[in-house]
Amino acid sequence: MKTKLDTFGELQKRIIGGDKKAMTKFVKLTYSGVFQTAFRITRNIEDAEDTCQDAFARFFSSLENFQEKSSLKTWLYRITVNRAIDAIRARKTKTIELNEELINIEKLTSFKTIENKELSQKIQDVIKELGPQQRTVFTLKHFDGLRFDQIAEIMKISPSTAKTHFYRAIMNFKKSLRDYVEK
Amino acid sequence: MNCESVKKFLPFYYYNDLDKTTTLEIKSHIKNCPDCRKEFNCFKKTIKLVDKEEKIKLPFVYRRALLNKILGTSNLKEAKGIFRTRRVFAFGSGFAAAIFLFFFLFLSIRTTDINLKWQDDSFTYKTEQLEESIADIHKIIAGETIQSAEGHSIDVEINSIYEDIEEITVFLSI
Repeated sequence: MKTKLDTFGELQKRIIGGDKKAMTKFVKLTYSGVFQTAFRITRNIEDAEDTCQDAFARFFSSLENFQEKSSLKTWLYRITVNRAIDAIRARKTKTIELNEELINIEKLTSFKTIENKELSQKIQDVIKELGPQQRTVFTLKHFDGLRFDQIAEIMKISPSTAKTHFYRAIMNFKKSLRDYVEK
Repeated sequence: MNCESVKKFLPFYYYNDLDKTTTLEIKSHIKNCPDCRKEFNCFKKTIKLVDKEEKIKLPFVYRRALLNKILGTSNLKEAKGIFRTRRVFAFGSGFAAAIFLFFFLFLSIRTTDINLKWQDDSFTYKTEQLEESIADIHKIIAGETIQSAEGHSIDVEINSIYEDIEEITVFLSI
């Protein structure tokens, strides 16, 4: 099964060959997905933006060190995920303006009614309660549609560990949203 | 396979991440076991709720500013000239897929008045409505077949669509 990471063959060759136009195209094709992945892991717009910018900067500055064992996009995801997890850890040490953060997230989501807002809040809470590893595996699997072997490569863990994190994340959602599901 | 094992496999079954034999075994079990079927339906509903919540749509202005920042902080000097005055949508794919797209988009010019042109290795056309354009792409490609060089019919489906400020890139799997 092909995933998002398998589709840049020709572009990858041109980027590795130093084609600046191909690099620009790569940024335009991937930045939105990178931002969304970063946001889903960090749950904070400011962190997601910083992660996104930093990931691309690191990506291009270390391009000459790229070894073609994996795809460029896998590599970009790896940089993004590591940077996003670092951002979560760094944020834990800061004082968070919770209300402001929630307003930011709410602006990006699609719930409108009071009941949905309550549900929305519940889902946000569950996501926030997931550990960084569980949240990252769930994001890469569910939203980015990656295979467990790709997730394992990105996160430098084994595929079975990735599956365990994923299973636990799913069970957390299931447990916390049971009341809404059974309505 | 007993109910306990099936329930453990359900998330992986849902995401099509099991081998063929296990998948068929679970499929058959769910069909015949009301309890596991209920469990699977609950699981699907849970995922649907999370999906609904997680629709992130960034405003156009924000996306443009973000892209500018990324290009500004990376070492891509020629990136400054990438913005065009009108939105341009690009279709990227292999050569065979590009030929296929040409025929279907050529037809679409006549029906939807889309201005199609060849540029670099992509097909691009200009339009003002992003959402309508995505719908057009689906209409054009969904369920179609093309002829291979050997004359066989090949089913074509959209592998993925990348939507950005100016471009939609469609990757096809044949």
